[in-house]
Amino acid sequence: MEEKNPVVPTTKSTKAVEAVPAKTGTAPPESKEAREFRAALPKSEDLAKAVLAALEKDLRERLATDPGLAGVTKAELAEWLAADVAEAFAETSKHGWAAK
Amino acid sequence: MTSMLFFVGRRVIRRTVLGRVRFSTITFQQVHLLQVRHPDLPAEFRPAWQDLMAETRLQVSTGLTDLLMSLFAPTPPPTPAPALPPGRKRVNDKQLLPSDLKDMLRNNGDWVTHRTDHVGVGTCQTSLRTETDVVRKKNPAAPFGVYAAVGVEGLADYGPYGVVFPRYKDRTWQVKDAPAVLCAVESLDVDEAEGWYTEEDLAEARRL
Repeated sequence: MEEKNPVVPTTKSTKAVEAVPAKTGTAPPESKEAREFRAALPKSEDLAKAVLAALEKDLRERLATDPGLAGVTKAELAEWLAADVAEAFAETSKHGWAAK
Repeated sequence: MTSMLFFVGRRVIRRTVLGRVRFSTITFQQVHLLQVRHPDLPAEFRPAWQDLMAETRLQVSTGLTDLLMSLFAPTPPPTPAPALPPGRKRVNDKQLLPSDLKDMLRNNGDWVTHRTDHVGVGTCQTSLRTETDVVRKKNPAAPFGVYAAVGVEGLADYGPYGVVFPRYKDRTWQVKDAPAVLCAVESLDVDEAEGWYTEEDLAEARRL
């Protein structure tokens, strides 16, 4: 079992966030409805906390029960999770809440 | 790992992460309420949604380091029993205090919660009946039964009290426009509820 604590790379995510145009930039001003919608969305901290807590529970269960994950190292899992989280949010961002 | 098992494991993780991120996001309370209001996300709202997803993705990515440490710790981190605030007593034996709620939030999907503004129902003094269901008051034509939402939090718009029931025990809770669920009965007895809480105690539980 891998002993070191790999740090999950977040470089890609940072770039993705930076790539979002600044709200005060050249983008057209949001309508009143769009501003209200933005204000009604949850805080990203709260949403991230909920996602991480649920994800930890799921992963703990999978690691304990799924034979395909016996012997997986922390480094392997770190690499997978980084890629999968990026993909998951890209999908959810793209599709909104519509069923795919 | 052998290569075949490696690919099986890889696929399990990908499926778990994609499913969980999506489910947790679209069933998050505020998101769900917006979804009910705007079933098709209008194009003009997409930038705000995409900003939220980008910010959340960054925070989840950052949180993965701690998550991995926790998953690979020799034993799960000890969870000290939170002490009750001094002098805090339960109004009745069905009242859930923040320490109880904190534990229940860890297994959030095992519960459904009916939010109400009815004091008697909301404090488990009287049984939960369809007549007092806020969903029914707002929409008398809603299909018969008692409404709740998956998770301990419920849909906060419906009132300051939350009555929590086990999701998988004696009753069948059908999903109606997730995370809303419906139990097709006239009433649910106080005894069937795990307990009740106030929104202040729920907020405190989230901070613990």
